Amino acid sequence: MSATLVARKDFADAARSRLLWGISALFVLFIGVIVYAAETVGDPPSATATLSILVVPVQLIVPIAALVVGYMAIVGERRSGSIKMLYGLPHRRGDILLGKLLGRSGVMAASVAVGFVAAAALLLVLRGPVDFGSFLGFAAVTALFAMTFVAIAVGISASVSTRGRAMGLALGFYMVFNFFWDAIASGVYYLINGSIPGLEVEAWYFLLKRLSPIQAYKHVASLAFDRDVNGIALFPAEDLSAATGPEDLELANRVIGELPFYLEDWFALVILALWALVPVTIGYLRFRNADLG
Amino acid sequence: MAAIETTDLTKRYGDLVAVDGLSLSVEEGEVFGFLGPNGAGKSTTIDMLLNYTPPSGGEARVLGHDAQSETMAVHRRIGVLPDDFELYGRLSGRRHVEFAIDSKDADDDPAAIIDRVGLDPEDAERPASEYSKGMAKRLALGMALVGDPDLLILDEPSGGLDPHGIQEMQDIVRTEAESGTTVFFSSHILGQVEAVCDRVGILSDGQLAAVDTIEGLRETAGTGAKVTMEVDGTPDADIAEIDGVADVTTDGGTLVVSCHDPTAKAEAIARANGDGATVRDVHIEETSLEDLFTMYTTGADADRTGESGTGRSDADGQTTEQPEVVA
Repeated sequence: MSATLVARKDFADAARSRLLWGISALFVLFIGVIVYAAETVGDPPSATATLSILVVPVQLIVPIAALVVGYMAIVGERRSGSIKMLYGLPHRRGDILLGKLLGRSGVMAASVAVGFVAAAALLLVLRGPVDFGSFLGFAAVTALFAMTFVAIAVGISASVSTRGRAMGLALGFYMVFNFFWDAIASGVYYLINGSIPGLEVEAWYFLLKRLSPIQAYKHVASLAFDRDVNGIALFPAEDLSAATGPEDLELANRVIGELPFYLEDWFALVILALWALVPVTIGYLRFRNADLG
Repeated sequence: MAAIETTDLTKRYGDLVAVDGLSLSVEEGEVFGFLGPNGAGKSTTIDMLLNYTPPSGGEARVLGHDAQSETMAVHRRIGVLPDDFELYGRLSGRRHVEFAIDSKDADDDPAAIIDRVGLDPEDAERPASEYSKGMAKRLALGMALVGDPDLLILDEPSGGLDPHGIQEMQDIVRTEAESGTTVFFSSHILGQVEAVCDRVGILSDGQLAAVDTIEGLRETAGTGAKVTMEVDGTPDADIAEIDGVADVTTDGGTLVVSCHDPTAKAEAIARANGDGATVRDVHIEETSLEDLFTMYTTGADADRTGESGTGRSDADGQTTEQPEVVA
């Protein structure tokens, strides 16, 4: 009750933000460019295949957009002092946090919805209808992905007392998981085994790689399309010189032994769920006792 | 039951002690002025009453509930006007009031609240980012009044208000008090507390320097005086040593002696007019409430309380000397 009140007010406030509309516009623009570019290549893929190309721009834009939408949610109110008014009213700190999470999640979900409607309209005009099931599934997992990053951002926002720290953590999180994660995973492997990963590797290494929420999203998107989709390339430090063809590089052929359950695509949903819960819980524990004076 | 009861309430930030063992009791239904210069610890105290800030030691109870462990029970029955706050810039003033009404599960009419704090109904529809500081203060006061709270906590409520706004704010405080609401209100300006408060607590360096009614403070102030003397030469006698003298300052031929004991005046003049100097003129000014506040909250305060305990009887004995005043 209390949390939904905070959420409604927060959504109403954030929905009037130019930043939000800027992000939505950027998202639509990106989708437009990708769809159009896919259209103009020599042998245009099917409408649904074109849609699946969107995984890459989603991986790049949605996390940064969600972090921007969420990183000031709590710490911004602490810096401006408006939290004194909000918490002066009978709202528990947990309700304030949950309300913020719901409000900003709503904002991102709305942005994603706008982007996907635009994408569907563009595809319909240029290539005909897309597979409705894949479209809905893709939109749903993308909204989930966006909300996961909102939860991470709100968790960061609740954990710190200055805007600078919140921004640093949010930006650092984005950089690490979008650009350096595979290199870090290779580094961990090197530290343990004394060599960089080769063609055939233990299963845990692949799990480590997809612990990144951005990688996990790629596997969740694969679920929606019912086939492997391409995500952003992260350039892991791996020695793949023994590979003789593309089938050698398939996951099932690289894992030593049986493919464990945690490398199946559905498990990426569990990983995303953990990312949606753990940082915001840490944030709550820190915010619960924070000095708001 | 006391509306506010603090026991040994303390807040430390590293080496800095912001609030130092504060024990304070505010009765139900009274208007209590919490007075002190900026940095005395007023806001920190309020922050602890509202559980914005956890105390380093001691305890605060508000309306019978523990401020820390029963925060919601407290917040449901109070109205808060914070000192330093910002509004939700993109939301209208009216939306703010509606949010407060929904949050407190109250049945107030937003328009009536907006009218009561003197906010223009048209302004109430504008986004709060366009509000002046005074308008923001009025709106926040309106939000505090929602739900007919049992206790109003107002932190520097007059800041940013023009004299007319201050008058209206004081009227609202009086009306609330008449309806039985306890009002706890902080200020660094005595005049604004004086006009509405039943009792005043003066905070200095995190400690309670005095708690009294305005009447009581006035009586205390009435016993003090400032003696300004035009002298030629420098008096040899040590005037500052006289019991009942708080402070002595010299500026060229002007000697200013602050006394908190009426009997010290004559002795001060007598000593000034002794060897080495002649008093040409004397001007005596009764201490105002303002002076008293300044005494309580500046360094002079420490000297004053330090000496007053032992000073009286000695000073009495010395007043038999007739001062020679040269007109």
